Amino acid sequence: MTSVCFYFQVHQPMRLRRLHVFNMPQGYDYWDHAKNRAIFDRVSDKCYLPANRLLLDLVKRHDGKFKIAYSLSGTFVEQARQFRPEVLESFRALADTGHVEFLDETYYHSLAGLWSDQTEYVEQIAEHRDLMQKEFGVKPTSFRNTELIYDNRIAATIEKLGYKAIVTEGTEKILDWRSPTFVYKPARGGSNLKVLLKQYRLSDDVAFRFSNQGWPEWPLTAPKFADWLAKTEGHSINLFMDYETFGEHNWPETGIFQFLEHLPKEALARGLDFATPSEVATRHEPVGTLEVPFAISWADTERDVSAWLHNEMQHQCFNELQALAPVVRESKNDDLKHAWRLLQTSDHLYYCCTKWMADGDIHTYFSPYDSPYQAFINYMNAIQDLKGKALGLARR
Amino acid sequence: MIGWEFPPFMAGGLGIHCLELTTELAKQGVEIDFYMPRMEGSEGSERVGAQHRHLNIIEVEAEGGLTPYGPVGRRGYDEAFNAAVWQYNQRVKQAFSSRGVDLVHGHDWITADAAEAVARKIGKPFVWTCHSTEHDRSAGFFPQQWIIDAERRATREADRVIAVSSYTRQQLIDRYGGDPSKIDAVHNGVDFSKFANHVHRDYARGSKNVLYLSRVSRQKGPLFFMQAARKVLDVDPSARFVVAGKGEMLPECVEYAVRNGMVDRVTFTGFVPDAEVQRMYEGCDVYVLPSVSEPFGISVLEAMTSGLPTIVSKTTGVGEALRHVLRAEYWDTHEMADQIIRVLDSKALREELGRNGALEVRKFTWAACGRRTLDTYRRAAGAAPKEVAA
Repeated sequence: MTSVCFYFQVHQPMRLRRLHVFNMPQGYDYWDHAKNRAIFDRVSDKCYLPANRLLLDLVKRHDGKFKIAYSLSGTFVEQARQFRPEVLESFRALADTGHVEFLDETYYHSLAGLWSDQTEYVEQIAEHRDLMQKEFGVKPTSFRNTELIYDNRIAATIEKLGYKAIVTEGTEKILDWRSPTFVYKPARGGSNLKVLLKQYRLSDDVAFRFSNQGWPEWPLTAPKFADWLAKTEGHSINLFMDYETFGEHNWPETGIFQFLEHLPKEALARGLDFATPSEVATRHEPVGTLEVPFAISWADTERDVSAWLHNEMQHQCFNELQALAPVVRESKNDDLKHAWRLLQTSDHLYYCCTKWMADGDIHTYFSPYDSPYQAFINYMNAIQDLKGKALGLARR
Repeated sequence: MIGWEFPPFMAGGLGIHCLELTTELAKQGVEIDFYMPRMEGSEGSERVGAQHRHLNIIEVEAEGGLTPYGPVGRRGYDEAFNAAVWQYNQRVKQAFSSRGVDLVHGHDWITADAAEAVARKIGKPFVWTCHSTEHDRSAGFFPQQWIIDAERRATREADRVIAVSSYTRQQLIDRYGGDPSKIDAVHNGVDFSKFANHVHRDYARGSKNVLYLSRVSRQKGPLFFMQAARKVLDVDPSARFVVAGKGEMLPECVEYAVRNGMVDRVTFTGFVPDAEVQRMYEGCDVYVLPSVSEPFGISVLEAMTSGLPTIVSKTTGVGEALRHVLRAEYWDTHEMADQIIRVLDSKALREELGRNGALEVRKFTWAACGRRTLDTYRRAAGAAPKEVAA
């Protein structure tokens, strides 16, 4: 039986406020609290709360036959705690059903997995694990790296940390002719780690094409989509997407919630079942190995890390933050360390992306800045200020 | 087409515009009678535009040699200039030959009266291009009412209006009540052959020089540049500033530098000959144009062609079509200073802005300007010409 494996990324970055060299904060409060709150409020009302309500109802209604998985970034949880505690409550209710899996990731939704030294990466994962335990009483057994970024080295680290499975993008770059609906394992290492790959065509049908009236398949209905799922062979059809797909990227008027509501029963009626990433990993043995020397991700048409690390500005920010690691560590200053880590959130680099032509529009849509250059200036102002303060502490 | 100047006799960008535009239109098969004042000193010497075979230049007896752009050291235009414009327009009406004319195209307020009159006389469409408004030129400082009236009238009466940017188009709508449905924004082009391609500029070798290269007049906002410079120096005392150009605000800028203790960090070069401009671009890290109101801003594109990172005010027309520049409000010297500091400080930022900008400006071609102007002609010809006024 082929399973349907839903996984949703739930993340909000801590956005910077407009920082001028002339008006830096005394401490490390670089954040635009008003904007972060406004965005969190909007997405809570349009997506988190209604989607959680619906999914909780569906999980209960189908008596455990309908299952889903999430990964919640630490920066998301912090903002939920601060701005909308009821959002956290609704995730707890989902956790309590026992049919919802929570994955681990880096607390800060960072690119630390790409750093040459993996110490920071491992620490951020541990911090996230503690958070999941504390907030939801769960102990994640599967892992989702920031924006599905994956390479051989990340796989090795994650396996060493004892996870059962890792999810990433099912791009042809690593699969060639092979199908993303089977379980694989990394080519290197002893490898008990299972790799689950996003079926990006079907995932993007829901995430990106659902509201597109120019798409020949529009409107996408639950029965039609369930037919497509039923025709797909393999261990599991991995539908990975941003949670904001429901209600935010596709507004309620598009019928996205009705689609979601009817999908479980349509899928079950066609002989499919639902499984979480860890369940899929437990049930199936790998059919092959994946060799990924260069990093892949689910972003843009390139499905690589160029959304964050394409241009010189992005490289500079990435390198500056990485180079600060020893100083921050030595300072033993928790506020400094927290701010440094919040600056590592991948979104800050994403705003500096200059790949305008094809994917640029998406970047503009998600960016709080007028231009990637302005984004860089603001980001670099924060980094340089933090650097100055960190070096000041170190000298003392 | 009714103009005011044409190479080699010119004082502003209008002459270049007319040369490039008529060249492109001629390539598209448009035949052009070009009216302009007979310039002092052109008698006996080489005939104006004699080397240009793409158009028929008709010189009209008038007191030429006065520039409608950049009144220097004066409160706007004096009576002599106003009289010269009036006289020129009358002479154009007298000299006008309607033979084979399908459309009349006038540039700026200085030709609007004649262009409208002759178009109405022969019942053909009147197209008017607005290169700048009196508001832009005066930066809101002593605008002349009769010029404003002339611009408002042309905006109203022309069958179609060409504005050199969406920014200027919006000014015509907001200030002169222009009908949005008949105003087209058509950007100027740049002749890249005049500028060396400096995409191979060494961005790692930061000079810490910040360049202001423009007329030092109120419209261009030089004092805002000086204020931003002061703020930059507070953070980075190693920065240097170059104010290149002359104009009525120069004394005020020098005084500002003296009063604020930055004479050793600011160089005033005065007028810069064309041959020197390229060297200026090469020797600087960033170009700043804090114009209070700039209809287009061709100098921005020229700087970018050399791979020079550029900061422009949000009230600079060309900025609307550029992605690879930094933008700030002209009065926001805080923001401008912050941008300058980061550009001076980051090779990565200089390189991304410079390289991408140098590629981006290539989309501003005179061929595109010519094509879009021809589109406007076609629209004007499609619109029923207005009745001849009694």
